[in-house]
Amino acid sequence: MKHKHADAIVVGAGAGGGVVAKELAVNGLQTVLFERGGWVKYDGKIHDELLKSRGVLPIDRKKNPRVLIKETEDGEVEVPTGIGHTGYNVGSGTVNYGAMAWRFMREDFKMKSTYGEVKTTTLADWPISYDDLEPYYEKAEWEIGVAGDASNNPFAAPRKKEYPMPAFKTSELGELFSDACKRLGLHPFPVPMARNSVPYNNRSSCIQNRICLTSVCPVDAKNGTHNTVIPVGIESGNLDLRIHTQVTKVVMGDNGKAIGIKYYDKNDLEHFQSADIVVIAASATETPRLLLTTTTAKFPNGLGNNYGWVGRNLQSHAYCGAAGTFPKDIHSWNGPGATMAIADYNHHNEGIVGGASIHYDFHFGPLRFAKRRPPWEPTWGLTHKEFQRENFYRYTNLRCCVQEMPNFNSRVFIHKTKKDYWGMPIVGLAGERHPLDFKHCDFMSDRSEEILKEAGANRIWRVPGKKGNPAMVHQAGTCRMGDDPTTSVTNRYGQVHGIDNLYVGDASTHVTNSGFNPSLTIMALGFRMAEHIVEKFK
Amino acid sequence: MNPWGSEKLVFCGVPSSNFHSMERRAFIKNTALIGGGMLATYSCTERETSSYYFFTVTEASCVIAICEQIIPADKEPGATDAEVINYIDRELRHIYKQHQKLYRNGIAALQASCKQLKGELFEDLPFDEQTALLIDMEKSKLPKTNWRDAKQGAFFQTIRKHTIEGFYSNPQHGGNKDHVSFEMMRIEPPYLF
Repeated sequence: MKHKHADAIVVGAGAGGGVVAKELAVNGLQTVLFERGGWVKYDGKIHDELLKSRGVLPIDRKKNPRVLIKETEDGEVEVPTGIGHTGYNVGSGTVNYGAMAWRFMREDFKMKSTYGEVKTTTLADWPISYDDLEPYYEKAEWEIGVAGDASNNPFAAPRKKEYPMPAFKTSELGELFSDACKRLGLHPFPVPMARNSVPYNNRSSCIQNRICLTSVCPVDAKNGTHNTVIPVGIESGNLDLRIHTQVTKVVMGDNGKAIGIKYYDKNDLEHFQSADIVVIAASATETPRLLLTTTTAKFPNGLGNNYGWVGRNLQSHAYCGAAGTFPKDIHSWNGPGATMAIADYNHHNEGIVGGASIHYDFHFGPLRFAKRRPPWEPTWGLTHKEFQRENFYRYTNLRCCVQEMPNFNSRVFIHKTKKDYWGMPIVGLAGERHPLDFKHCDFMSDRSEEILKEAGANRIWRVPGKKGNPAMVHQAGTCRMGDDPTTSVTNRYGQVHGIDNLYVGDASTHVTNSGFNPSLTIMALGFRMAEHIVEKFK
Repeated sequence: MNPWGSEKLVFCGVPSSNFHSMERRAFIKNTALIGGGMLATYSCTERETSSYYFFTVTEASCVIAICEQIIPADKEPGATDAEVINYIDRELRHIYKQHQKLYRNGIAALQASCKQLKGELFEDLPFDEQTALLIDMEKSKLPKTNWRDAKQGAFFQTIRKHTIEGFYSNPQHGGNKDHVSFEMMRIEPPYLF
């Protein structure tokens, strides 16, 4: 089935795609936004820790298989794997995320200049600086809605405008964390949150739901692209959102430009949509899959892949930290937690490349707490039950969002033989986190232990960084941007080298991923890219 | 009616969609001892025989005893009181369908091990002896000859995970009867999280 020609196509209605689609639409471009999932609405049934642990909108794994190549003693073994936390709905992860809305620091865009060449990594500078992105961070903060106060964070890069909403007041646990940090000479400050501390954008303020991370907000006070930019785009009359569609191919014309995409609708009917501009914003695993699936005479190894960089440098964050229990109750489970953080260790740590922000964790319920135990504690029986009874209100853990070292072997590829439900080659994942990440994790776990000790924990244990492939939450880096087409996939605006109307609009373009949650940066890059496209189109 | 009003909890009198052939065999064997006349009321009696969707009555006794080991009663209720068995039984029909074989073979293998080592069924052994057996099962140290059709370590971890889920999740799912685990943890209503 053919459709009326559009000015622009955006594939994926997440943090990046939602922003780009809205910006194009309100600037007069007839835009079609494709999303494989549907709208998620709050309903009491999904307000349930067990169901949430299985995913708010579980993906059909039979239709969307993936494999992981594992290195074993017997060589490489191919095993089935899940999709991590990639979203499957309008707004993607911005519907049920923790909503931390960080700006990266200056150094995060200049990792190679700051730390020099780091062997066996692909550490590089971004082609843009913090200052290039600053106006778009501001736009994202105001249009999406962020509550914060950067005045106590001396490490934050300068900003021109304040946050649109005041920071959230911290809790007793936040005070405990902050006081301990201050005694250690550190600089705690409120975590910037894409959540309403006061009524904003005609929606109510946060009600401190007990579990926020992984939840759809019951009062719509958490801000993602689903309740901000996407509805604005639709209101403009220029945005056609097509949900439950699976895009399977970028169609290339004889002139070397993208002419549209092929997709399947809910009833498995194949469609073709043509457009002048195609933006792929399908996540750092799905975007490279789409590029690699399409080949032409000029790009025999996949679009933008003549130098083999598509799908490479897959990274996220090597989370680690420490956990502890206290001799008395330290919180009363007022949600959502994670109100305070420090950025003292994000950079300039001796012997460490980069570092991490540290915050105390979001709250969770009885089910997840049943898995939080010191390594020496039994995992069942009376002792396990007693720990659960005694420590639910006496426990916290510190999370370090460790900046990963990009490496060429950590990657997304398309499977040679296996196909998904729609006949598209499936995603294969290979490679592991860089060994340096674990050195950095050790360093950050040490820092976390110091803070917990200072805070008065009577039992502390380390939570080490996890090995393996990083294609989970915060995935990034697989179509990195750069000025040199031989060592990058897109230019500084996300335009694929050599195809001037094909763009990548998600975290795939991140050269490095900082020591912070990436959603605000993805959004800011979306605003910047859209401005570039609009100017070019006129 | 549960607080969500979404699904009524019904355990008895609902024809099982996965009426298992082993259960059928066990039933026929049992009723044959009572008399041929009973077979006429087959389906009705079957419902009374096992109120579970998946487990036979004997299997359920074993599972209940294992769950009680994972979360024992002390001054506060344990897995048996919380009816964790109902959670596992229900989920085995749906999201854990793929574990049905592991449970069926795992229970049989554990019982065979118990008979060989102790001469009794697992659920009839003293609490401490059950604990010792499960510690061995967790470490895959029960006699290998009984475990040809199921991996004992995997069976232990699966039932451990399911017990914890049933006990600490919402009663909507079948376990945690009367919110016993939430009360134990001093969690106050509303239980929306």
